[in-house]
Amino acid sequence: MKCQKCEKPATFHITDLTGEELLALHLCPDCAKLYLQTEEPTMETPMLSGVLSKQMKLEQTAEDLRELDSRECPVCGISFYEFRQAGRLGCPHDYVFFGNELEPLLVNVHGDNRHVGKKPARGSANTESQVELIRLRREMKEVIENEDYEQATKIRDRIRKLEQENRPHA
Amino acid sequence: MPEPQSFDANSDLHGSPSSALSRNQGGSRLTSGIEVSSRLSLSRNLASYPFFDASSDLQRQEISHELLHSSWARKNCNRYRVVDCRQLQLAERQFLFDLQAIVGLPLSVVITEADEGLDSAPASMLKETSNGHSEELQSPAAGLPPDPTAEPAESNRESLAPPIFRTVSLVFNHEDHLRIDIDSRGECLEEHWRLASHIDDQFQSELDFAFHPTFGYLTACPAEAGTALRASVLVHLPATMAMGTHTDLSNRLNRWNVALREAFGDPSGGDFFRISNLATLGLTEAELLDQVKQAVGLAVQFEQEARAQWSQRDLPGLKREVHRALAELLTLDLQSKDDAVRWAMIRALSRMRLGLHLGLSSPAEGAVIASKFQLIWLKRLLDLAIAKEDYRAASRLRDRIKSLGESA
Repeated sequence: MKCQKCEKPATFHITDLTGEELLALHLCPDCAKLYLQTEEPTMETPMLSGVLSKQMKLEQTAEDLRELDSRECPVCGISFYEFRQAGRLGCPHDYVFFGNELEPLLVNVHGDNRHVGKKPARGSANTESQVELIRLRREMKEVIENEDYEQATKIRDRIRKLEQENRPHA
Repeated sequence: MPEPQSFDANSDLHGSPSSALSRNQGGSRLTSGIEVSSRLSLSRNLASYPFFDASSDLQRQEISHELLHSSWARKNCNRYRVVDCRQLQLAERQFLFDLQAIVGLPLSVVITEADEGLDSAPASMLKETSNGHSEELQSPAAGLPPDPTAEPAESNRESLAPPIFRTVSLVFNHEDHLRIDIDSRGECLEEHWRLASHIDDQFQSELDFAFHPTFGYLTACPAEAGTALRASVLVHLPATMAMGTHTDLSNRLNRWNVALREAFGDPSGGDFFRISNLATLGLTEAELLDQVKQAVGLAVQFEQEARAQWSQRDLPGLKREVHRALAELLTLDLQSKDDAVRWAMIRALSRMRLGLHLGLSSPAEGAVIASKFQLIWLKRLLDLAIAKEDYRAASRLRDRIKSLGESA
């Protein structure tokens, strides 16, 4: 049997139980090593989830926390609970949607929450249409998963139209 | 065989020590050898896509495509070497870069024969990229991207192992959509920033990166938002560790919002540390670099004082340690990927480097170790050349290995 990721013979047969469904993998030693390697946290980044949970315990009641955790970004669909667990946001709009919660966190991590560095030379782009593009791409992902290709074609055309409108006249 | 002065990491940077001196304006620090290498990372995300973790495989392919096919990337691809990271993982590459800087060899191991332009990059490479692997563009010897005098790829290919002292990597879809990584020997963060900002400007002339008027450049991890810049310098602090003043140094740096972290994960402490900025909001890029540079200056001061103290207190003991390390390096398996062996190697290299800088061992002894490393890296390049069926390159490498083996 060949490795599922390269041409070498598969000598590792892994059944992954960590996701929602069983995942059977047949890999060569090199690919298996890569797959089994747990990604190390970036050394340069402070442990964000620790800072976050400490801050929230101090400022919120259990009920507040539950309510906040259940909030989902309407654009990318990430919940605050998911962000709290992984320490990573889903899309640029999260900075707006979870803005009130993020501000104290940013102050805690950086000692400040205002950017004073480099700015885009062309000025800010059309944020609304960019957010719409992210939303459409999420919708596209869902309809493809449901094999609704007719709808996918319509969404693709809308994405292309928006992209054309957004393209900078450089 | 490398000349002894190749251990002066800063003099390697731009060809001559005097040019490096005028750039850094820090004559006394240049010969200390305490600053080993510097790294600057600048992260960016496309405004109209979800962040990496939340994006699908298809979206990741689209992101790679947008970045790779921007007119700047297409225009400059023939000046760069496309390094296939499937053979060398990113962390392993960075380890090798640091190791080369520590040993002080004018040689880069990160050479492949893949000199094709980005347009001809195989689809599988894009697919790999979308799966979280990285793809890199490596600049020829310290050249800025639009440098018209940059060597064409073919001549680099001829020389096989050109003396590359700065590597520029464009890493796609690794935590953020784009990360511009610049590594070099010595401390030259300001030059790195100018280059990274220039590359960023080129991308921004046709792509919109996620930016918020208050929070600055937006990244998947809020700890990076704002400037999205991480600057770090690898410093060699053996005497600070031996004299026990590192805790005091670490506390003082923490008050400046700068981190001092052991560089290679050695549980017994280690002598190499990375000094980097913690905050990315509230300060400009220049202020952040200044913060790190000041911290490095303090670390250098601590180390110089500790070295003087150590030499005064126990010079014979220090000499013994240096000679024991040199003997150890001759017997250790320098190619091992085992962490314990690597830590032992780094500890021995640390003593060797210290001995050379304090004049406790002869440059010839250091050169023997350096050529041992050079031989290993050339053999690694030979393996890569054979795997790529580039027999011309393999033949040249065999000749070099033979001549090095004879002279050693």
